[in-house]
Amino acid sequence: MEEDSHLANLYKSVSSLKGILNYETLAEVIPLSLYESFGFERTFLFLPQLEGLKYAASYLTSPAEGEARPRRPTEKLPPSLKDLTIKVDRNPQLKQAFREKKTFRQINPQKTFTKEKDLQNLAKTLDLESAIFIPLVLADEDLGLILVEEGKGEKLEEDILAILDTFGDSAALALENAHLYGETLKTSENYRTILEQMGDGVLMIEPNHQISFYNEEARKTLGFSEEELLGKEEHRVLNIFDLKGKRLCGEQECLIANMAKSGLPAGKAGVFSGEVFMETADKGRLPAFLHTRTICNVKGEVVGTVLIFREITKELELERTRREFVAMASHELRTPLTGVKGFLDMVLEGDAGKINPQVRTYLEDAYESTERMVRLVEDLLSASRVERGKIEFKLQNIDLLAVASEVVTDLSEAAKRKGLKLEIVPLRPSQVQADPDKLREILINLVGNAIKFTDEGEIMISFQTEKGKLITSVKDTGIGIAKKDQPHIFKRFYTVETTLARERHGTGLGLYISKQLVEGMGGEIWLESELGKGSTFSFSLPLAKGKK
Amino acid sequence: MLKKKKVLLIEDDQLMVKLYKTKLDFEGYKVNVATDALAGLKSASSDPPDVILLDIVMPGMDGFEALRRLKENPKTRNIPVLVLSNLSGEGEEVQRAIQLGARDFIKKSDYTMKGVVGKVQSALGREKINHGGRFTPR
Repeated sequence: MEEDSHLANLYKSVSSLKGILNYETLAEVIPLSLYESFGFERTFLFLPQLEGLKYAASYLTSPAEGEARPRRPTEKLPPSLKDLTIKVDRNPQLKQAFREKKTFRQINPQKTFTKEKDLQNLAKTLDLESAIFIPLVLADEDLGLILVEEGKGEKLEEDILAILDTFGDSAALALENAHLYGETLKTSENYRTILEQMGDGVLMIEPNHQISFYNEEARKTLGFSEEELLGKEEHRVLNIFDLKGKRLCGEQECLIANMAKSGLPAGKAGVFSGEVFMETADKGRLPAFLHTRTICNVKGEVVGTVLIFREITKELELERTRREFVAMASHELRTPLTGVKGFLDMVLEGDAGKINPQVRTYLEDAYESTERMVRLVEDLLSASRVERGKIEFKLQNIDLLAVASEVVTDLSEAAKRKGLKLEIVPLRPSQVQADPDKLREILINLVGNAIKFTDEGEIMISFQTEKGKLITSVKDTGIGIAKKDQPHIFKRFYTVETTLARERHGTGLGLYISKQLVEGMGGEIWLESELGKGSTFSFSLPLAKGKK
Repeated sequence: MLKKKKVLLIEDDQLMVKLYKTKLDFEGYKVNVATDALAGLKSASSDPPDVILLDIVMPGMDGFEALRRLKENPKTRNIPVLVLSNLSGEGEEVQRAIQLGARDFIKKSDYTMKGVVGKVQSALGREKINHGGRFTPR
C-alpha cells in the first residue's frame, strides 16, 4: 500500500514537470511539486552557476493560522542562503553521490557532515535535523541538487529514496530540455534579429510553395502587407523577370523555387544569382539583385528556398551616369586631339606645300605626342571598363591569323620607321574562340610594345596548338625585362623603372588590360624575357568549337 | 574632266568642319557642310551628295536619329553614310550605327587624314560598282 501511494506520488510529481519549457518556471515548479505530491514542507533547489551550485528556488509551507511551530523560527529564507556556494568537488560525500547518481539521507547533518563544509554550512543555515539530498545528473553532467527536509520523527521509510531518485532523473531531464530549448530560442531569436536588421530583403519559401518567412526589408521592398505575404504561395505574390523580360516567377509557377524540386543531387543546393526585375505592389517594377538558394538538410532533402534581394535602382543610375560621363569625357578629349593630329597630318603630307626637314622633325614629334595622348585616353577607358568587370565578350569562332595580319599591316609603318622586321609565321588552321575586337586590342598592345622596346632586329609572331588551345607568341629582340620586374609586368600602372623604358612612354596599362582580356576569354598570358636580349609574350586562347 | 564628287559633311564642331573640309577640298571633292542634323537632312534631300559624313554627338537631333531618317527617306536612302565620330562608348555605338544602315564607323582620333579620304573613296567606289560602272577618283 505504502509503495503504491509512493508510486502515485511519483507519477503526480513527474507529471507536473511535463511540458514546462521555461527554465526559470521549471526551477520554481520542482520544489513545489515535491510538496504537492509528497507533502514535504521545506524543499530547496540548487542550480549550477559559474562558481558552483547556488540556491535557485524553494518551497516553504507557511504555518496554518494560530499554529505554533517553534521548531522553525522563521518561514522566511535566511538571507545568507543566497550567498552559499556548494562546490561538489570539495564535499566528498556529495561528490560520490553525483558520481553514482544516488540520492542519500543525512541525519543530523549539522553534526554528521564533517569533511563536507559546504553542506554543513547549509545544514546550519537552514537549521536541518534530517535531510534527503537528490543529485540531478544527466550524461555525467551535474545539473543541480534538490534538498528535502525531513522533520524530527517524520523520518520516512528507506524506499522513498529510490522514488526520489527517480524523480531526480525526471527533474534532470526536464531541466536539460528547458535549458536546450532556451538556448535554441535565444539562437533563433538572434538570427531573427540579424535577419531583421539586414539591409537586404530575405524571403523563405517552403517546398509546398508557401512563404514561411520574410524580413521587414523584403516586405518594404515588395510593398506588400503582412497578410499578403505570409503563408501565400510564392507564384501568386512574387513576379520576377530576368533582364530580357522572361518571367522567372509569377502566374502559374516559380522557376526559382522549382529549382528546389528539380531533383538536385543530394546535399547540393540550387543557386541563382543575378540582376532581375521584381514587381512591387506600390512602386512598379524595380531592378534588383537577387540571390536564391535551395536549402537542404543533412540528408540532402530540400527544405526550402531562400531569396535574398536588394533594390539596385540607385546603383544602375550611378552606373548609367558614370558611363555617360566617361563616354562624353572621352569624346570631348578625343575631339581636340583629332584636330591637332589632323592638321599636323595634312602639313606633314605636304597639303600646305613643302616643309623643310627641320620643321618636319618637329612636327613629327608633335604628331607622335598626339598619338600617345590618343592611346592614353583609350587605355584609361579600357582600364576603367576592365576594373568594373563591365566588359562583355562577344565570343565567336574567328581566324586569329587574319586578325594578326591586320594588326601587322596597321603597325608595319611604325616598325618600318624604326627599321625593324615585323613578320608572321603562319599556322593553319588558326580558328579560335574569341571576341575579335578584344583580340585585336591584345595584339596591338603586344606588337606595339615589341616595336616600342626594340631598336634593332625583328619582331616575330608565331603560333602553336597545345591541349585545345592556340598559343600566340610575340617575340622581339628588344631591351628585355629584368627578372625582378617580370612578376609585376601585368599589374596596373606598372612600368619598368629604367631610363631606357621611361624614355619610351608606356601608360602602364597595356599589359594589364591585355591580361584581363585574355583571361576573360578563357586564356592565359605569360612572358619569357632576358634583359638585353629580348622578350617573348605569349597568350593562349581556346580553339574554335566544332572544328577538327 | 570628271565632275567633282559631292560630299555632305554633317558636323557641329567648327574645328572638325574646318579640318575635314580642308582635306576633302584639297583632295578635289565638293564639300557641302551642315552644322546640325536638321540642316543636314534638308541638304541631303534637296542637293543629294555622293556620300555623307555624319557626326553623332550634336546638339538637338543626334547623328543616330539623322541616320535613321536618311535611311527612311527614299530620296536619300541609297546615299552611303560614313559615321564620323569620336564616340567609342562601350562598343555599342558602332553596332548601332551599322544596324541603322551606316556604311562604316570612322573613329576620328584613330584615323589619319588619308585614312578618312580612303574611306570616302571606297564608299564611292563600292557605290559605283553596285551600279556596274567604273570609278576613277579625281
